[in-house]
Amino acid sequence: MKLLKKLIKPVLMPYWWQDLLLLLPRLYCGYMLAFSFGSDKFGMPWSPADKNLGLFEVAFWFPNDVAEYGGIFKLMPAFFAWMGAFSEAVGGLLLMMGLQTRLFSFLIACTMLVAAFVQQAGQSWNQLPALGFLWVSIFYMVTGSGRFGADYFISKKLKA
Amino acid sequence: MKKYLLLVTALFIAAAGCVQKSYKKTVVITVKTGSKKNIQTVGIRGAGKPLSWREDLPMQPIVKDSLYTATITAVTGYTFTEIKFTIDGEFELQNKPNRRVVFSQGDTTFYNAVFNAVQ
Repeated sequence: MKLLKKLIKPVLMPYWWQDLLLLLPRLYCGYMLAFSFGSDKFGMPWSPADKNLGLFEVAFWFPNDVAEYGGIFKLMPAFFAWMGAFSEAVGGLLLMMGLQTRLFSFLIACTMLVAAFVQQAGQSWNQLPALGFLWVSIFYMVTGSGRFGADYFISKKLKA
Repeated sequence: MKKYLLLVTALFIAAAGCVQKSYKKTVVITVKTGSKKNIQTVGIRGAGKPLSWREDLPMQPIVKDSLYTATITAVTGYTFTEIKFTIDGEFELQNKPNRRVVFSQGDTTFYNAVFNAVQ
């Protein structure tokens, strides 16, 4: 329980409006990951119907792409593809909600590290979107959800 | 420790099993080129291997300057693909949506089209 409390208890800014301002990148990045990038390759209830994805299924082409990265990715392409797509689609949703913010920020950061430095290695312009998400996820790994997230309310309850 | 190992193993198996099923689909495409003459190349561009939006998949003439065909075999989980035709490298339907080729339930789909015209 102590570990859980530590994991979800957010760092609070001195003023509430600062937390409100810091909510914006979390909402925007979470929305883009959950409803655009993630749901295109990971079956969510709102995934486009013509993608033909079952719930929590990773798109057929993604493990093939992941296998092309070589090394450990070639050994377990389905696992890494599923984890990457899950981190984006489910992680994005939970990032928006501010639920288990640090845990899912970590998963998103891992996914974006691979996207930026393995998938798009050496293509600096192509790296930028993944790097953008990486910086945001690193930030929330440190601060947690702030005042405007589920973690804040849960951590308050855990105290009581 | 045993618990964690079991959990990780279960996660591996679950993740590996949750990959979208894919099927081998063959599409036989024919296109009527209309009134253009002295055509050098007719091609298809589209989404998903073996198609690409950057390079033509060349079509073979059945009747030169009139009717062209290509057969594509793809392994896909989707129910459709999107394509456009090119003549001598020039796209049809510019600033218009791509053609949607919806796969039939069986293995082979037949798609007939007229260049630059939406049916």
